[in-house]
Amino acid sequence: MHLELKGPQKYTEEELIRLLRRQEHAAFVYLYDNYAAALNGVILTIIDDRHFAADILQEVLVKIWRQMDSYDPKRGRLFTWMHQIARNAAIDATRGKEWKTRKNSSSLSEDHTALPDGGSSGAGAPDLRSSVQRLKEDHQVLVDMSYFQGFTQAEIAKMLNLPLGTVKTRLRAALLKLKQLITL
Amino acid sequence: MTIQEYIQSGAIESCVLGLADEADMAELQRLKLAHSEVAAAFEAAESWLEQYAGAHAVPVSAEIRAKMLDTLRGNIENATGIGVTYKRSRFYRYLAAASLVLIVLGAGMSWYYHRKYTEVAQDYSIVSSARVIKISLPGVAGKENDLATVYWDTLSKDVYLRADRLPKAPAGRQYQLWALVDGKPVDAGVLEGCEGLCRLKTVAKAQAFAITLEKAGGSVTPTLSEMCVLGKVAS
Repeated sequence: MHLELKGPQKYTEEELIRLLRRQEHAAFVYLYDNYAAALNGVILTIIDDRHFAADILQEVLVKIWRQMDSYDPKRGRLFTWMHQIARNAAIDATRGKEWKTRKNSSSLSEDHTALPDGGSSGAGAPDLRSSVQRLKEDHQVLVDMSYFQGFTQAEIAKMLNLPLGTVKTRLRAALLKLKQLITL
Repeated sequence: MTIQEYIQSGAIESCVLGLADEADMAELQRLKLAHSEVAAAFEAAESWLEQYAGAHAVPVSAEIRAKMLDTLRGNIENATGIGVTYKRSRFYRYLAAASLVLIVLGAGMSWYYHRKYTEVAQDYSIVSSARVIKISLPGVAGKENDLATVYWDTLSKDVYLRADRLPKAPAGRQYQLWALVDGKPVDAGVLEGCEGLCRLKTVAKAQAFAITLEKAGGSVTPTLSEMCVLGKVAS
């Protein structure tokens, strides 16, 4: 059953997708070894607790595996889709009871004492939040509400009492600016 | 909007990051097919995201890796039916048990989503109600990154707070909201493990709101050196 996947290999995205759809275990090992750390980084920008993030990562990987059939390559690359699953799962987790309990009782966790404020997570830290803080105020708010808190543009428009078009234009401009800050 | 303007608007980035709505996504799909420049810009944005995430990857310990791959293997084997060699009658018993599990799961999920939905719906009805005024509390000098928003129901006098950006309170301390009434601070409650909108004490009258970091349980008077945000009520 694992004939095709002997030894360390490198797959093209198409090959990997095909093997994942056939539910090859070795394809998951490959997926894990190539993407788990990046997805973990994505989760940690939202959940600044390594142990909890590891639980979410596991949930995300199972979800990726289960939902492989619903992934449509025409709409974008595999990583774009996985990033979305990881971000959604992390945001869902911040809305859950477990996160609230953890946040309240986290004073003894060694992770937290090592964590600077603002969601950074140590070595190789996702500094997305600190880049966001370099944006101007109204841009920060939009990126924070949409990317980190998961509100839709329509929800943000309602909350900030702005027309949807304005929210879209501003959020887009904010993302471009953020991309420039990050790339520099 | 020209194609070049579209590419330079950030619309593509909002789609790649998953922040766009269905209309934005449909527009992108349409333009991708019609214009190769849009397709190329989309691919570039996707590569950028993947590279950024790769550069900011946080490795997972070998122990966790082994555990996760084990779990995934379990999932795969269950679904592909490896090791299922039961006799027919037994198979049906398992099927019945599995159906029961699904029914219970389904009921649990609908309850969960219903709760979640009502929670969110309640949040929105508060922030969008016309009688509710919104007071933005920006960070004070030295705490410029902090931000909170008070939603004050002018009729019921209920006060809700959204901690947009407040660092986690250190152990043994809590954030406390104060209403400034005719120059005097009045306790409006401490922030206690809530996400989204937190309901605090009712406030009948106030010219401004502020948040300070206090000892757990809150203080009688605010520690002014520990003030992080402050916002005036528009008169």
